[in-house]
Amino acid sequence: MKRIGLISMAHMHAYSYAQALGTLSDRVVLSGIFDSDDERGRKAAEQFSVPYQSNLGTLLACSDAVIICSENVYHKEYTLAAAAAGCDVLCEKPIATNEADALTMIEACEKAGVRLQIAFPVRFSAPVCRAKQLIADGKIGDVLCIKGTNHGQMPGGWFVDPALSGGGAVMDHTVHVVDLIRWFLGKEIISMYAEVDNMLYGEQIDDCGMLTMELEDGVVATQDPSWSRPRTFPTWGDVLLEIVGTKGTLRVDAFAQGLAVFDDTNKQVVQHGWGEDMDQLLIEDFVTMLENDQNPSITGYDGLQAMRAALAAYESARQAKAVSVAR
Amino acid sequence: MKKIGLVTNSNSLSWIVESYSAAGIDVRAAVALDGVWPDSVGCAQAESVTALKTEYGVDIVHLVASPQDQSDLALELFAVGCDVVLTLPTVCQPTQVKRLLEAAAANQADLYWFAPQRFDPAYRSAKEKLESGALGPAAVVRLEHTQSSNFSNVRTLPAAASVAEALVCDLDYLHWCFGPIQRIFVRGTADLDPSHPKQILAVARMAQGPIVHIQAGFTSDAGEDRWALEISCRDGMIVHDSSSSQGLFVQGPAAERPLAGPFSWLLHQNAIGRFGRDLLSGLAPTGEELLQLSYLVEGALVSLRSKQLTVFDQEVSG
Repeated sequence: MKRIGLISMAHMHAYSYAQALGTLSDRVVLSGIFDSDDERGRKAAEQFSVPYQSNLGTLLACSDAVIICSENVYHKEYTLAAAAAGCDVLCEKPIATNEADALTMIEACEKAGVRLQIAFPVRFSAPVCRAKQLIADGKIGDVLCIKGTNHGQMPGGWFVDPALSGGGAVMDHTVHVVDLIRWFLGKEIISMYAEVDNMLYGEQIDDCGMLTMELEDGVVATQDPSWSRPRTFPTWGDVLLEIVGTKGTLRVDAFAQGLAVFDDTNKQVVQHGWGEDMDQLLIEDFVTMLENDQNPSITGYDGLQAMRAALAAYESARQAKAVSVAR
Repeated sequence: MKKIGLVTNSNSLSWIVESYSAAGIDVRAAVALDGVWPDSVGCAQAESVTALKTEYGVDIVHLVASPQDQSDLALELFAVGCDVVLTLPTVCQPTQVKRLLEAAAANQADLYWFAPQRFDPAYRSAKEKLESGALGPAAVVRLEHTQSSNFSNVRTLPAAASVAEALVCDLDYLHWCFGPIQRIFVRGTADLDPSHPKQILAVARMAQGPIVHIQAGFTSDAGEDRWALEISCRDGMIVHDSSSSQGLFVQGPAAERPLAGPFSWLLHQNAIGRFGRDLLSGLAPTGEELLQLSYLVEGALVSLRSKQLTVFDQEVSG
């Protein structure tokens, strides 16, 4: 049975990943939790009834793999430590906050012979998976253009501290849709034009943006990564794609599988999801990879390319013109 | 009160006359460009466009024709002293609009144009909500306008003309609501393969700050137009989608769907009625505004062709 440690509960996904690991107790064991925030880590360890490890080395020593859910800026530090200890890694997105860190992470894992997977759970959404299949089967012909959104609410906390997150809405949400586009089409993004600004929350970080991308085969895509969902919005946000092909158009809503709940107590309409849990499927995929000694389904390179697109968006906005995206 | 005339094809004639009539405005006479006069049209049939003036005393002619025909017809009407209203798909190249304005001025006539979103009750209401300040300043604006891929103009118009047609309403609405457009970056399928249905994706920046996404195209396979907007503000959001706002759905053959079809019938009827009232009050969008809009459309086309950002002179966009 594989032992998986959890490094940091800074990212909210850490909690759903821990829960998912709990449902796989016949296949894996959550070996413990380490967190640079001692109090947060201890509380989480208590919540999930697992050991809290105040020393990272101790956690790595009793783990075959780790899931890193720290603030973005620490992804490199923890990945390098895990690689040095021989642990496979599932790293929360974005892979890092700059290209040098991401390349160092990928190289370190390769040298150490450990696997690096990036957490892009939307790949496991049922509508998204079906859309990929339909595109691959040629049901909409050749893809001509894509309109995507990954809206959200402003998450607050360290997400709005550039020193810890590396960027705001554009860094947080660009990577998901870019990853889906690359995954659907098997093509790289070669140029980026973006408008990026801070107009919604008054934080010292970007909270809205609009991206226009061109892929290497000429396909054009736009994406809205804004934290523009109001507090009264029924859900945290969305991942929507409209994919226009020569034979038809696909509209994908990754989170449409939910009930509308009219809650008088909290004076809000909320969406209560009933679809499959993407985080659960992501964790199952990671565990299966470990069990079968496979390659990761979502590689460090995938993470790198998605992050490069986000960085290119910031650069485009800074220069006020379209810029090339590194490959 | 000024008298209104109409020049259009037979398939649009009845419902435009009815739309004016529903707002209490009589269309004095009309010309069917294709020579087919439908049954039970609520106005007189004029033999020619000039006869609208000479025989029926029409002061303003609402012209609904292809962009290729609009200029010639408008010049003919100006020559007899009629004011002219252009309707989408409209002439929107700056040189053409300038020529029409000059001709209008030479004949003491006026040029107007029917900007549909300014008279669509949902879009007007959104503007009023923004202006109330209740939601705080706008930050992100998304406009979507998808027409049927069966729309005849899609296949017959040159790519640039159909792109212009796709963008003209949205650019006008943006300018109307938010003031000058500072810059625009336009991409789409029209530059990939002009033979396919056109889809335009544009990102624009308003001088006042809001970031804009425009999706305009001819890819709807639902047999009807779809207009949608989403405006995210500091303290809330406005959302409208015409496809879910019709309020009446009837199952059965397309002909039995009273609010569907090539146009969202009642919305257009309502819009034309509002427009008619503004037209008679001298408040309709002017040819000068159309000229200003034509510069924006031209800039958008430059961006589409060059794959580069177009930055507007403040004088042009403002």
